[in-house]
Amino acid sequence: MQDLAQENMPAADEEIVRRVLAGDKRAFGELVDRHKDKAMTLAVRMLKSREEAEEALQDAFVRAYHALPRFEWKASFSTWLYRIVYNVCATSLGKRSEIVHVSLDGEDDPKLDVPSEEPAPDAAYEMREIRAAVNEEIEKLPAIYAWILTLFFVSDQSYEQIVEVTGLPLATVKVRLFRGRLLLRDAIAKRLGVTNAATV
Amino acid sequence: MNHLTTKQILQIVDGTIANGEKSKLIVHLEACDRCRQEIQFHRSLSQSVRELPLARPSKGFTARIVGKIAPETKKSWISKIVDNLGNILAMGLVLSVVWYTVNMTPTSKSPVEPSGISKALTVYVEYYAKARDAASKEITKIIGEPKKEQTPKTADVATLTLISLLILVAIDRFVVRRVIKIRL
Repeated sequence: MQDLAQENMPAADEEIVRRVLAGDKRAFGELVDRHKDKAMTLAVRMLKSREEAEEALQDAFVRAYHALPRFEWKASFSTWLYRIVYNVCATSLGKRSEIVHVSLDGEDDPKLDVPSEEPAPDAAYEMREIRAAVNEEIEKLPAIYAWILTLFFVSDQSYEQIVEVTGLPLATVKVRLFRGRLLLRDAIAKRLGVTNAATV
Repeated sequence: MNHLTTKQILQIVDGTIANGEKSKLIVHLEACDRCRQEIQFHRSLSQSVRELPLARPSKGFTARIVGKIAPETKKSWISKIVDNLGNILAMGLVLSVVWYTVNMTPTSKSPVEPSGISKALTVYVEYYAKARDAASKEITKIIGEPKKEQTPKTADVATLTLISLLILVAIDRFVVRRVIKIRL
């Protein structure tokens, strides 16, 4: 029974990488299929344009393929891939004079050390309303915050993995993540507060 | 009452609050509706971000990546013929219509009622024959009698075939390939 369950389990990334390195180039398509949606979401959050994101993602996957022989399994395949996606997107943003991977020494936000100014909506709100609001407001966040929120929540990367992806210090990652969540929180609270006031 | 800071709220939501601080915060939360509401709100936001629909690349994305890293091997001539079978059949059809048109003679009476297509072709042949005769006379006046080995019919077929081929190539290049590109 256990053998049958194991047979039906999809191959781990490691196994597919081994096949690719053994010469089965088409097996790389399985890795692409497995990771393309989350990687695309990351790229869109960073570049704010589907067309640019898809182009960057194509570039990232091709680079990942050529870099596979040098992949040492110090991090998971997804973390390694997201790093490549991040670098490709950051280069693209750099051309637009938008810089994302600059770490500011002592970067901190005094707003994080006080309670939120805008109170949380006190009227009953439905998850459906919050989801709709989050879907719109996250697109309006600056790339450096939208990206890190997506890495943390959607791609399930830990703080340490985000450090691996971005090359930023851990303290900077935490501050940016908290700041991004605060910005999102305030935007949603304002929206729901306005909606609730209108229905009262 | 001093409410919890944003940092403390987020650390509680993430479960990363230090043990020493936890007990103090729990005491506060038991008495503070606003902070409990704040925590619940952040939990809802976190869940919503996690559940956001993923952006998907366009159709054929994976195939394009694989195509870039593992280009197609050279096709044999049989594969090329099979791939272009549609074009070959279309050209054959055009040539058949052209040949039929040029060689068909108009008939005044027919024992069987002709179909719509036959009627249209008959009319086309009649007008074409008249136009051809008129053009031949003009051309003969200008350039002299045609060479014996090249009959007017052969010249007509050649001209019509050439024009048809050019039209087919143009449709393939400017319409069909663009439609395929857009769909991909």
